[in-house]
Amino acid sequence: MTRIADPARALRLARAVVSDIVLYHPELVREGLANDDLFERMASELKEGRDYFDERVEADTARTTNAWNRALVDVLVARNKHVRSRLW
Amino acid sequence: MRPFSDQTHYEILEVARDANAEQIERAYRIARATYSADSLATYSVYDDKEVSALQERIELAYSVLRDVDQRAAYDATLGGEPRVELALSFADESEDELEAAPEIRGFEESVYEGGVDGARLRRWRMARGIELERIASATKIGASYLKSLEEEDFAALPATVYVRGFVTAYVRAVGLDADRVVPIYMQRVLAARPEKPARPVVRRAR
Repeated sequence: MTRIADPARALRLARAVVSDIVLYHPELVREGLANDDLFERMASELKEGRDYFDERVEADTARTTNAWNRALVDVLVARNKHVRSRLW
Repeated sequence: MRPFSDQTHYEILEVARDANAEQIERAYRIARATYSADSLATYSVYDDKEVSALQERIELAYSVLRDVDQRAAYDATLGGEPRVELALSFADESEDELEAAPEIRGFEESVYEGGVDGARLRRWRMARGIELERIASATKIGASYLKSLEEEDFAALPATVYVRGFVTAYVRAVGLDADRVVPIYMQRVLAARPEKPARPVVRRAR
């Protein structure tokens, strides 16, 4: 399958993947934020999502857009600010 | 005037398609009072059987329109102008751009050729980079229901008539042909579980 080269599409895919991770693992997200160990606690889920993203997106596009990390911040962290956490 | 049985829930309550909850509540109260068994408005116009049928239609219309999920599913079955914008992914890019996207090209035909199931729908959605939460927000169908569609967790879904509406809304939102996809998916639903009753039974007090 041809990989995504368009930056906007890469970012949209990253957000869709991260959004699904949040939807499928709400408890892990809540516990991870509450205990400030989000990325350790969700390591396997995030790796699976990142692998899928990397399979679909051209390496240059992924690197130059920083789409995956932006999606983590925008979707995984920022959308869950209602969770009580030491992070904020 | 068309028979009551042919009228939409909106026509029954005499509200617009975009009526808000307060307007629906008010219209329901008026309709219920107008068509009560001892109402002067219905006296000599309808017989007991007709009044009973009318009351049932009013209760059904209200029960659907006051519930966000049921209303979204019902709206999806009406066709015409949707109450919400469903074609989510197309707002920020033209169809030409989508056609040109190499990761999309050919995927749609593969969905049809390979049959349609929840996992394939999810893969299609992901290929287009559409968040489930975004579909939920636009269609007013709970994300948990949409997730259940993709997971084929049919036991978690409501009555079949509503599932059909959910599937239709979802399929349109992700840019697939509802006429082709919905019947295939619904066969899977119907094969997996018996029909659930679509509406409450309303009994007239005597």
